[in-house]
Amino acid sequence: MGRVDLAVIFYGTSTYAWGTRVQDRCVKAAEVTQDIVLGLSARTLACHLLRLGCFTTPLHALFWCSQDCLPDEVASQRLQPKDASCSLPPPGCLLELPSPMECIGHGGEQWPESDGAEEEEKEAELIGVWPASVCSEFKGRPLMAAGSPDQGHHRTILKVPPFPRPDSGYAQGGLTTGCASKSPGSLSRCLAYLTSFPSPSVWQDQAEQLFKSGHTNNWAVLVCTSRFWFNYRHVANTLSVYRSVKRLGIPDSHIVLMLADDMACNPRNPKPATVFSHKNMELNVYGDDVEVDYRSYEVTVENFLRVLTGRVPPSAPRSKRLLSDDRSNVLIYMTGHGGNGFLKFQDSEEITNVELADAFEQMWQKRRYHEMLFIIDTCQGASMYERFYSPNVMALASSQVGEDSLSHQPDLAIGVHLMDRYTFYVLEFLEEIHPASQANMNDLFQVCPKSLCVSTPGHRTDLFQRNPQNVLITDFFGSVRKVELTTETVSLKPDLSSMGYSHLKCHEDEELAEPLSYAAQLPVAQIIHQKPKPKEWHPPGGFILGLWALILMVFFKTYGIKHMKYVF
Amino acid sequence: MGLLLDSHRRRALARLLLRLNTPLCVVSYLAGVFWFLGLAFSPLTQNTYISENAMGSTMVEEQFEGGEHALNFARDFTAQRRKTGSLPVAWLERTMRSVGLEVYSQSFSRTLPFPDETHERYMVSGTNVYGILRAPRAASTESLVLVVPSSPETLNAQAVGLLLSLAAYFRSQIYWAKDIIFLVTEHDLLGTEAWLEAYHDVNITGMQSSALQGRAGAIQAAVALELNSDVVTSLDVAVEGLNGQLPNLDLLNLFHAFCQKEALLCTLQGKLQHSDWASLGGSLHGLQTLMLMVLRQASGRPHGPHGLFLRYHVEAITLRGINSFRQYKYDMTAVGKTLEGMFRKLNNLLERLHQSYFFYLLPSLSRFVSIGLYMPAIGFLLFIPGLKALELWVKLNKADFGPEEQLGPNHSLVQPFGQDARGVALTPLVAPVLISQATGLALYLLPVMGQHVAAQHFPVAEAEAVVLTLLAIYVAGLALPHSTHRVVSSTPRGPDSGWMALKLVALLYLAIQLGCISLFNFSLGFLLAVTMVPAAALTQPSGPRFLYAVLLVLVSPGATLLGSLFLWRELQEAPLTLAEGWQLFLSALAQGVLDHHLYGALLFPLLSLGLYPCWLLFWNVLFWK
Repeated sequence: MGRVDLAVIFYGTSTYAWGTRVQDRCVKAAEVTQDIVLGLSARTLACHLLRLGCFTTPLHALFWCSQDCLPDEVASQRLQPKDASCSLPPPGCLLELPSPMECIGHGGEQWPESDGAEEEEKEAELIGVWPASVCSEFKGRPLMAAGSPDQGHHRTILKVPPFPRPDSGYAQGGLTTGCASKSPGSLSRCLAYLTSFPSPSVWQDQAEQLFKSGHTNNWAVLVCTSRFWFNYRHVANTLSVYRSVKRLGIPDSHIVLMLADDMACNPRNPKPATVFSHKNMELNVYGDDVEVDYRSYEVTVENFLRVLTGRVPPSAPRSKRLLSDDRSNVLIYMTGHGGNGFLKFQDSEEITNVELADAFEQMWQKRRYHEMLFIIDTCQGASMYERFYSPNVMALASSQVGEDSLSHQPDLAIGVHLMDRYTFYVLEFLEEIHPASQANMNDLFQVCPKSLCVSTPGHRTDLFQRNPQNVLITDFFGSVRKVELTTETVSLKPDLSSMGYSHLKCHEDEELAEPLSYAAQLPVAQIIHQKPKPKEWHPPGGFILGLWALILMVFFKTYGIKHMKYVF
Repeated sequence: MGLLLDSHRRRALARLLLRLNTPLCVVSYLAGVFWFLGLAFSPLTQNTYISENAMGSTMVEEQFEGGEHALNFARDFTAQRRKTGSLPVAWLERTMRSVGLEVYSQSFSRTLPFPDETHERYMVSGTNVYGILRAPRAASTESLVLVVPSSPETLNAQAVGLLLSLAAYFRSQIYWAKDIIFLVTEHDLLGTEAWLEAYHDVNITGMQSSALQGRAGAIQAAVALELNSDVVTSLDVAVEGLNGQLPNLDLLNLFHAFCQKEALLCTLQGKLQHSDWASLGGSLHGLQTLMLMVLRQASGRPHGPHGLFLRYHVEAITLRGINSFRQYKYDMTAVGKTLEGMFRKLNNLLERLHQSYFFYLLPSLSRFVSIGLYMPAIGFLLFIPGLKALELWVKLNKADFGPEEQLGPNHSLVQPFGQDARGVALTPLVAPVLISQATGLALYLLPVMGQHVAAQHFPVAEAEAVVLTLLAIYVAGLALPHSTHRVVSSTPRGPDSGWMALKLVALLYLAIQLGCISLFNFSLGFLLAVTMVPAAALTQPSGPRFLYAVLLVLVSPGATLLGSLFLWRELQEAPLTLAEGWQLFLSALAQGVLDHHLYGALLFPLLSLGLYPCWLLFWNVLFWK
């Protein structure tokens, strides 16, 4: 226990990273439900884990968080009563996690993703085993085969890609408002030292899979451009995507939701305060807490473009800003009534595909995204993405040019169509996704075949640098943080654990072995003037001609000209 | 313009015009008539469809089950009605209040200009009762109306029952975005007119009524209901309103859509839709329905309470329950569900109905002819007076500067074409035109003003006196040429220029009038044009004058009305005998005058002040000396 073999450094919004990573592997076992985790800061999470018996006390993990980044209103509300027994050190201290944290590393493959009784049984078992035997075995399988105390000399640092320079002027989308923008230097930065990491070679294979994304935060801009009761389905479309991204871990502070009308409170709604996506009131996508950032007449082309490009008035609250940076994966979802090359906003104005493409280019030049996923559900949706020219943009549309996107789920009781076909099937697909899902973009492309959609959904990946097969759905729809793995050894003082809570460890950049740099982004010009795709190979024309001549010759040689009449 | 300024070409054109005039007129007339007859055939009709997005489809789960409830209300209403002898206002108020409406009543009274013998009423006073269902979650800025007219001869008890039952059901629903007004009017259209005037705070027909105590915003749509039996075999829909106004086609489409959804039997003009539209039989059936619609629209009468709503730009239709000898009957629940569905869809409206057509003709419920397709018919007909007028103009001018033309092209170039006062002498025309107009004015004013005098001097009742005075003045107009000739001084010009000038003016007058009429009431315009235009074109003081005279009398507005009545009954497959036809004619005259005074129908003033004087001008032409 004296050695620290593994360090995880979290930055910025890493609470969520922490939460979701841990949730995948460990907290899930400890029956911490998602929505609890998502509202927590690192500190309260640790406290929570402690109470759940996920760690032995005293904690042997190292936590280091700055004070002002703890969203404790929500968390404390939920946990205060029980927290009396939890005596955590003040923020900014070191906690040491016990060795069970290596379960984090093993979780992905050890715990099958099936749900049901089997999983519950395992979880229960695990909780039982957890504090005592330090997770050296799990269901008879040696988890710690490589991690036995005498072999555990490997030291590994897990680190996430860094923030942009503090002087870059971009306010960081912190967990709480008013934190990061005030003091970019003291960003919420949490550090956990994990001990006894077993075998880095196993890790590296997983790391290949795990770290290919390169983003540190996720943002979503969800836009419904249609007013009026009969466009209920567009609001339901948007809310269903909202529901999914929120469920998968993007917090409200990272979602800019633009709804042109309030269907839940429309007097025509027979079921007030609901927006259903499925017939017979099976799924209420309105849920309990919908935070609409731009509503009714605020949903304009101007506001939308201002949000994208960041040119909002200084008075705009943080909830109305897209505070993304060059490490942000941005999901943009739009729905409404459109035509060839335009999307109507509220029956009064339009955004054209050229304007949209230019806005994306501005975002790129202003380093407002790392990768972008654009989804549009409207008639002739494919026309909206055909003018894009900025790199790292993947686009999906519900229908090709010249096609209508159709509605779905007519509901007699509510008296309108509840959803559009494309988004309906996207929602069905997303409902199956959880933070650890390995589903990739190719799966999303196949979500709504023509037999279901009636229209032909389209997608565009030529601007995107990665193979869609390697792009997880959760890269855009969730807030699942990816970390980079190095095998470099970091020597830490062996007496860390003895310092206990009182030791305050402020890590500066000396921990990072190599200087950090921006991932190389493609110059625009190179993208615009991309080489045409190589054509498929065909056998040369002469060869085919010769082949036919040969066949004819053989034919005449065999049968002679007089047999022609039998042939024809 | 170059074409007209060049004298050679102008002369060539004039010659061509003179030579081809008659064939062109004949072709144009035939084209107009056949175009009209072809309106019922497939290339000119389109399938109806709901244009209004906000109403969308018939996606409603109808849950109305209060059919029995409605019949109980109806029985109570009948009993109360019998007890009180008039509309049971207190009972209605109590019942409406008990189902949760905000109840108000309005009393009104009206003295008719002369006794209405058809409805047997003269001094009318009554009370309208209405209850407002406030939309629970919306501002009271818009409303829908369900109106049931009740009068001594048609009680509409079942309709009142259904109205109350629907009100009770609607009250329990939370999805209303518009207030709903449940209105029961007394003395059918009179009550409706009084209520509408009071609701919109206007007084245009001399109705005395108390002010309304409760309002519910701008009325977006109204449905009038007439049911007189416990079960119905079909629902007939009436669309023709005052002065031939029609509701937006979407409202009718909505009704039709729910008819199909509820599998109700729905008729238009009392005619079922032909099963096979594409066949010849189907098209002829459609033509019959279309002709009926044209006749009803031309009459300019409100064919149901909905007709009065149209004046206030409230889209409205009247539904009539028909109980015939068919086997399969629908109960009140089925009718109620149809109404529920319609009201839920109307409730979804965001604006007034405006997406679909306001001008259309209906060969059946599922097909329509749009204004763009039927207007050519009248265009062809109105081409004829234009052609004839042009011919007369050319003739008149030629007669004058015939010798000048030989002076050479230079001289005639400076001759302003059509500017020369020598072309047409207008002064001799002043007298006939004025006298004709004066006769028209007399026709418009005297019958009603002089009814008491007539009733004193002749052994007739006032109502008869009005009609007979009307006819007398009308016939007296035929003697007009003899009186005008005394005033007209001798014409200094050519022998024909006098009547030609008069005919020219009359033709232009006719064309302008018909053109204007057909813009707001195509049916009326077309009916008048198809009869008057050929006679007007033929009329001249030479040739077979007796034949012309007979023809002209046959196409006079009064005769057209008589003919239309016969045609109407013929199309309804209830032919009239001559005596019946005459009786009907007399009552139609009285009703026409009454409609004008009671509701502001324009047919009577149009005919008496516009077309009758115009016709008299042609009569003058015929007897020109």
